[in-house]
Amino acid sequence: MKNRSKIYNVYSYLTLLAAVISLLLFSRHIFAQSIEADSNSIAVEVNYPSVVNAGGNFAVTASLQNNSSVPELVSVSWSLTPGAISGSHADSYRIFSYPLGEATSFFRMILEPGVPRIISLKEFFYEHTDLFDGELAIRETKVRVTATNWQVAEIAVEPMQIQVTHSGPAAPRMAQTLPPRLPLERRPIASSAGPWGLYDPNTGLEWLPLSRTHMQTLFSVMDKLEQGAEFEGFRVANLDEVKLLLLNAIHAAGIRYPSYALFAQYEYEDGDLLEGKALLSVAQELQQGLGITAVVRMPDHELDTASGILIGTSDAPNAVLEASISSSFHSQRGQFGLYPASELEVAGINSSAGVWLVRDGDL
Amino acid sequence: MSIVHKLFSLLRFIGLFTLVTLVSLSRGYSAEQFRADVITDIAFIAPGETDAIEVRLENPANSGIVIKEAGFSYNSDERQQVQLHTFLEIIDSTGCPLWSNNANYGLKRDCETLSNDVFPVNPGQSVKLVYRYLSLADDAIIGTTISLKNISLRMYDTNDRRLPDLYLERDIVRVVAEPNTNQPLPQFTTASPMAGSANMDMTLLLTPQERVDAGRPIIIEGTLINRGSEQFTVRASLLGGYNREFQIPRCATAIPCGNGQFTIEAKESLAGIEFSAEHTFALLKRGFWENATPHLEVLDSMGRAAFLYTDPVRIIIDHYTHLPTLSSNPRP
Repeated sequence: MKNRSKIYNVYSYLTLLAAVISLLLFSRHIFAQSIEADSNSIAVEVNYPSVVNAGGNFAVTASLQNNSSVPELVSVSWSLTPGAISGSHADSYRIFSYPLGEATSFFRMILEPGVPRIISLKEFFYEHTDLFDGELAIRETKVRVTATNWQVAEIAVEPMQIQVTHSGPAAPRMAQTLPPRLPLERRPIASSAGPWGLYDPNTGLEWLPLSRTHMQTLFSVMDKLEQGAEFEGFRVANLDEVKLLLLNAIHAAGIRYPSYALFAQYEYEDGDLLEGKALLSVAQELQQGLGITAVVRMPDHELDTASGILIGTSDAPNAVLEASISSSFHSQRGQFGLYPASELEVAGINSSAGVWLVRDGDL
Repeated sequence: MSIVHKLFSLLRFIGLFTLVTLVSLSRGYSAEQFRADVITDIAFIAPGETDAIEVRLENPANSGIVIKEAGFSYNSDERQQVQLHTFLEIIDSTGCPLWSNNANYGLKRDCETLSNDVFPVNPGQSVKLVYRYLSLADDAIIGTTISLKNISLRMYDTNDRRLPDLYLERDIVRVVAEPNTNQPLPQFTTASPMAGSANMDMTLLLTPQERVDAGRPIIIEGTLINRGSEQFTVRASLLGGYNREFQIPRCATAIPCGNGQFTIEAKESLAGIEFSAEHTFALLKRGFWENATPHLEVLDSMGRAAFLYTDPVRIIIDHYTHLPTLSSNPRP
């Protein structure tokens, strides 16, 4: 021991200390930051990158761990208000949560004891027209965890500091190109399902108005797809087809609307007013072609909605969801929504949704 | 006997004692400790009069149970009496007409908001509560006898578990007479053969599956142990709070039962009882099937109901996706 201790002289100690400090400082720029919190049985660790490149996207995630002895059914949400975000990059990102996220209150996630799971709390998409060096700060916020028995725990999340780096002086970001799209056409259809449908010349698909299948059970509509029946030749559309229809309508109107934004749940209602207003005319045009399945007329809330059930996502071919197009006259906004279909809607009881039916329109 | 053998015997005894104690702790409530009786069993009632019929409920000091809430169950006699006597209206303890010959009641008449504000009833307490108000029209026929039999009280403890139904010691008789009549009260036998409650000494043990695929039926195996010296009729549906997407069949599958019930003899243990729940919704979803208060309704030979509770059941419903899917493959 004496011989070994001789090796580590003062100089060596200082060198080692300097190396450790350098590594710690360096690691701050490499590794994600994390904040741990606990709600009785569910431990939550919020992770975010401390440094990101300007122009790049990132996610704030949560690692969940069930410390009880039984599985828990949990949902997690992290709310941000406009005032919670500051810094030179405060307005650079489109922030939203994915509507089909497993741990959302719509779905709730089964959290097995002792098995950690990572979920995305929020996606940050860089949308500023310029690239520049700066920072994004998020003040203290709260993560809400709902457990099996619907008990809610609010967990404080410490302030976050994210450096957004850009080497050199500020520079314009390469503009996103708008995909060329032809406008959709409302046209007569030669079918007992008529008298008219919505044709998308970009895909060659023809869509039956949602109002034609409104207030019918999903199964009764599916029965009418059989040969010789009312909707012969049509099929129930899947999520990808509905998404493409809506994006084609938006892009045909000349709106630079990223595909990731469709159905995204915005962090705050007034997220992008200009975009919402531009989408209103698209939503109304789509409703002219697809019909309206629900109308709200209240003094401060006038809303037309075209909503329908669809079947299948790329992950779950049998999944049943509802996609909607809303025109809010009070807030002058067009909005698109995606939700799990409810039992009542599938059964056609008190339903405000039709069924998204599509067929090859070029036949 | 060697020390080792003695030690083994002692351990066996401790094990058995612990098991018996644990099983005893999970038993249903012993029913006989509560007592309820009508305060005035026989009385006159005049046309145009409303009579509040009061009952005394006693919770003995050694019961160990707090009665959190109680109310009187509907009684077929009440309906029969109202059908028989067109001048009679029976109003429940909240002040709302319960049985009435006036079809407009309940639509036009505002209910009073009365309540038996005596709960909780702690051990050692004795309280008075209204059973019903009997209301007679002015044209009630003098000399008519109104008779209400086999009146029972539905009670809950502080864990919202239903206690055995408690039958009043005596039946109720009201004789329609002129106001302030001086006639002697007629004689009736009012002692109720149903008085008291079922004396149940049973245990229900459930061994649920840990997880089930969405859409598949849930089957929970159970063992029913009757330690008492009476035979009981068991309603074969496992009661409690359920997910709406499941339906509970009327009959346990492994034991033959008619009318949704089967019999357990005195000192009998029935293993292999299967309680099932069928998925009936069009959508399949990931989640839990939960019954926080699983219990069985059992009836003694007189038809008095008692409720046998056991530990909560929570079964994971597995699904390949967190999204809801159709319960059958979509037709082409």
